[in-house]
Amino acid sequence: MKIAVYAEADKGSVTTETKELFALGGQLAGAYNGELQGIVLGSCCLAAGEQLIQLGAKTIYTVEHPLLDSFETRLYARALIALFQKHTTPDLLLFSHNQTGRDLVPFLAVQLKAGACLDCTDLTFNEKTGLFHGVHPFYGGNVVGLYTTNNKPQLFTMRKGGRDCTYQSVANNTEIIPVSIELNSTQILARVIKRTFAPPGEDKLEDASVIVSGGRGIGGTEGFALLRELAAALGGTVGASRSAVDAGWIEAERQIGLTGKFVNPDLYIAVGISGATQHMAGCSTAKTIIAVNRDPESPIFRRAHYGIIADYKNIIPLMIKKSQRQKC
Amino acid sequence: MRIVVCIKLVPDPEAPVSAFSIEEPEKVVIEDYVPWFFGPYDESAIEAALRLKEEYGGEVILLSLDPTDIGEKMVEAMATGADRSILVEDRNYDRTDSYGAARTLAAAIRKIGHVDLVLCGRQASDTDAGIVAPALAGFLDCASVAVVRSISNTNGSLVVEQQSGEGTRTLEVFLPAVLSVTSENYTLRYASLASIMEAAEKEVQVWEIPELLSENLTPGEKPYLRCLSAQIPDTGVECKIIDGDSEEAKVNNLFAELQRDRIL
Amino acid sequence: MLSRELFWGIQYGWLTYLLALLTLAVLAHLWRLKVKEWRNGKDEGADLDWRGKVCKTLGHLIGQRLLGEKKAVGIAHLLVFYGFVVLFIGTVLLMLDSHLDQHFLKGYIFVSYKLILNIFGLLALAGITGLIFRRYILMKAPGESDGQNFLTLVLPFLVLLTGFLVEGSRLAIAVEDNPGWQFWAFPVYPVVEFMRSTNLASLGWIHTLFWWVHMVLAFTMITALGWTNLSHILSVPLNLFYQAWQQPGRLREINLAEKDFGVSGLKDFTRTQLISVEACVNAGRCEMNCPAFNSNKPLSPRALMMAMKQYGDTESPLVGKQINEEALWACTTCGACQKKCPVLANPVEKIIDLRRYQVMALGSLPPGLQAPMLSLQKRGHPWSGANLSRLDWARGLDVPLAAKKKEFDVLFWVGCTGALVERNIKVSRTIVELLRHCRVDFAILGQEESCTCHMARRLGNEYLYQMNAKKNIARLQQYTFKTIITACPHCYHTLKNEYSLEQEGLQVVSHVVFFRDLIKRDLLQLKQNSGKKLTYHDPCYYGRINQIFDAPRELCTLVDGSLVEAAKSREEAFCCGGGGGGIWQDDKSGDRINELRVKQLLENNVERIATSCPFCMQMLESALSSVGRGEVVVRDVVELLMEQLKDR
Repeated sequence: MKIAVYAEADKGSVTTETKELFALGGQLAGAYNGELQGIVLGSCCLAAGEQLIQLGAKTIYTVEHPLLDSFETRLYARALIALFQKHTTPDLLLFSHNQTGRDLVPFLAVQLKAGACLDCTDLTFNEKTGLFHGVHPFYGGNVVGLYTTNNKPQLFTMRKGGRDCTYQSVANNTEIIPVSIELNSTQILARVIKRTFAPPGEDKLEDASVIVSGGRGIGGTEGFALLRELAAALGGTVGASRSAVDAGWIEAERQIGLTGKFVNPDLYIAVGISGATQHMAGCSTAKTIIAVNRDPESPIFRRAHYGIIADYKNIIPLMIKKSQRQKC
Repeated sequence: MRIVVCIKLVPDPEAPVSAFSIEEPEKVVIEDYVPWFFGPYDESAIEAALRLKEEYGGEVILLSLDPTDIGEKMVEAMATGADRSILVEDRNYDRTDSYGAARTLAAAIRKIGHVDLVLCGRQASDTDAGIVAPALAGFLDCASVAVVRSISNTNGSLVVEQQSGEGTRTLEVFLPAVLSVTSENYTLRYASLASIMEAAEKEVQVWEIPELLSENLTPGEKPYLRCLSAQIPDTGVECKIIDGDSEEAKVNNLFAELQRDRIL
Repeated sequence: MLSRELFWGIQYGWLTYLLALLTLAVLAHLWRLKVKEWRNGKDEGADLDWRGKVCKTLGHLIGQRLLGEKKAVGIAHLLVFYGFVVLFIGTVLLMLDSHLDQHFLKGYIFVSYKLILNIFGLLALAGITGLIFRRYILMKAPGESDGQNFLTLVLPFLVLLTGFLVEGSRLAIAVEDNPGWQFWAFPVYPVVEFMRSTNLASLGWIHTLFWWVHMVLAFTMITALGWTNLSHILSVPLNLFYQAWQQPGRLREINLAEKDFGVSGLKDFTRTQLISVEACVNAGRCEMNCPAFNSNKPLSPRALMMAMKQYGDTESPLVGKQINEEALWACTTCGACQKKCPVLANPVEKIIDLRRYQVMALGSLPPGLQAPMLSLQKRGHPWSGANLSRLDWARGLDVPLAAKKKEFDVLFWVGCTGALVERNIKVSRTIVELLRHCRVDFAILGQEESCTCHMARRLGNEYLYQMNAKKNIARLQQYTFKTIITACPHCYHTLKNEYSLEQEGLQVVSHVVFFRDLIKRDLLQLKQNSGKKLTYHDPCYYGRINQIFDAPRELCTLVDGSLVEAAKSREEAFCCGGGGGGIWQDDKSGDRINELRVKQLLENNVERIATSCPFCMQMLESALSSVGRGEVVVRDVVELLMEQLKDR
């Protein structure tokens, strides 16, 4: 059984999400006697390939082509299909549920006449049927379902989940197989003109260990300045619920929730957030959740570990002072 | 520019967890009182289409499957400014089958013909899958960009801003294309009663599935993605409410607790 | 035998009849234009109860609604009003007397007649002088565009003055023919003495001059009823007649099928509405009592009505040009303006009619109101984000459902707010416990309840209201019960006054009245009071609009003897700012209405505030928090009852 991981690298080094996928893939391969493979597309292939060996991959396919430098859905789908035609199709192919995963996987699934389940929190294997099952929450997180697909490869995109990445078994006789494919520039249907990154100093939410998050109760952009102060004092970063983003009080990159980022901090401070399922879905794996909310009956107090019932405008400045004193 | 917006009727995304129950291993039952309407991302897609039409001209067509009881909702959706709508009647419609939906939508779009742009919401509020838009592009073998937050037409080509992990990717997209839209910049405009009454006169075509069958469609084929079982998770947590005589006392007590529990 | 001769000392007196005809013609012409505009308005159909209306109108006129506020002005106007009424009757009597063979104005009748006229003439003169003094000396009214107002005051003043001069000069000349004149014509004593002492009395032409000047002024004043603010003399009684049965909080019923989406331009108003616009006299009592105006929002009901009154264009849309959009949406529909208006102009009804067109024809809503409106349309309640069903609030209480019980005594109408907003859920649960405690046979509709759409209606969405009203009434007809109780004054008002349920034999009772009655019947036993100083805030839709003042106070007094009356309570209660969509709008301009109200309530150093409305509850708690007085608690009256229940 071949378990393949679609690996991604950022400026030559493998992303945390990819590492999580290898940890998961490695676990499954170990448990069910499978072979762990890695697939890398793009010109950063070689460096990435070396790193993947350390993550336990037995075979690594590197598909290098100048046109693959920039992600484009159909091009990448063509590349993978060509890869599977040259080399055997894996039984399982794992992706991260990120922009690539969302863009590429359903497109690829259809063109492979296979299926894909997106946004899975976990993966299991049914030995009787020989099929992998993905765990995917739906109805805004109110219901959790177990899904499977019919044909090979079985495609799943995995939600970033604070998975334990310490599992490693460096395989023997690892092979890096370069794959060359024909790609035509006329096949490109979309072209990246520009990339803008979040303002410097704003840590990536997915990697943050402390997050101070604001919701509908913040009331405006000034409130978020306060939250940023607290985040800075605690050595963390600021996040938001969809209400706050839609109201224009903070950039969309800060949105945490079902349709935003999934975060896994040690400490999550929810300020003026009601605790609706769609938001909690993004932060429920946090180790400690503290809620600050004016409404004593707010559902957030059923999802948090600690709570203060008060107006955040009075509480947060006090918390900032206290945190700053702690540091010294 | 001919724009088709694919919309799906879903149960109220704000339905409380008490409205859900599981019957048989994988059937999710929703209480009768829960209303059904087009999800927020579908509405964003409609708004995006309307704005493109306002700026660059063209036609906006609403496309939906599952015509049961959808007529009124379709009229309300058209009242915002769409030109016409098409309902595809499928007796075997399964709203949990995203790939099946994408396939049917692809056939319908081919039948409409000369479609420049297809817009969908980034995910449906019931499946939360995000499959239909890219899968649809896969069936149509055309450009696909998922989770787009703004669309404009600059110098004759379509420019979109896509939400990407660390920021924004701005892409030039060649038509025809399928885009899935997210809600930050697009809130569907309010349709007045007058415009709803007018929209009742707009064209609603109903197509039957047999019309759409082509060599790509193999009826009876098992769905690409199946739900095997479902459950309603228990998400309760014991919350410790920190009290105090003053707000300062509350904060002090909180920090004391956090230190005691070795969190800070 | 004393008597009075018509046209004494005047030649060509018959010219007055010509003048009169001319005057009436001019007046008729001026008013014809006005009436033509009114006839452009929508026809409402005939109403037959004119006798009752006449009585009510007379009642209003005699009672002088203006007397309420600004007492000094009210009294001055009263003097002028009654003065002219009496003088007018006097003139008519004189006309009759002169044309009858049997003269009746003689002897003692004549003396009393003259005395009364002189007294009232003097009082009127005093009144009008007071008004002139107030406007031009005390208030320093602007001179430039004041022309109309100037004439409105000065013409009657001059008419009265010249009237006295005529009488004075006549008596100066014919003093022997009028014995005892010093008694019954005492106001003109100085005039007579002056003229006699200066021998002006011999100049008969002075009397003639005064007489003709007085005549011309009088007739000019009558024509002025067409082109100055004196028009109120005709328009106000007319409006009082048409508005005789005006009820607080009542809105115009409209027929959506006929594409009546409310009001865009003046021509969309009904005829009686146009008459009420005309009747606005710029009194400003509405503005003085308007919570939006008093919190520096751009809304002034007075300015709104005057803008409409002065707008010559009947076709063009009013909102955006004559009427500020922000002003339109700042109204909380509290009804204070309607209550205080001396001419029954009813600004609230007009505001809602204008909102209707904005929403139903144009789809124009302020951003803060879009979410609740869309939520109402989609899921049948305005509380988007609640993530609750209409039964989740009752978890664990095992509340009987109407669908199961089918027959019961009392239906507890929970309302959207009472079921979905956490703070108000507490009150609903309290009510259920109290009902159980008193062994009341009750049930709730649960998921079958749909919003009464009171708010939707006042936000201009008449369509939603009509649809949901039909749905709700049909639902209610499926079950057998006698009484509906509710804890939400907005639901109460709509169920009682707009759903016409009483016609079906159903009684709609507010929760405060219901529980007060249960106490009276000894079904609730209470402990003595807790001693924490308490005040009661009257919700607009229980208090001012539906006149429920005493029941909640009786309940409060039972639980806490130290109930103090807040400044501005009962009829004068200041709105919390939550109605008319206020609860969902961020107060962008001006101060927060709820903060103003809370400061008023806190004036007596109270520790607790009682109220009986879920919107007031939210607004007051929010205000206490934002003014930093979070230690003061707000409780619904039934929550206070619960705390004092004996056997707990």
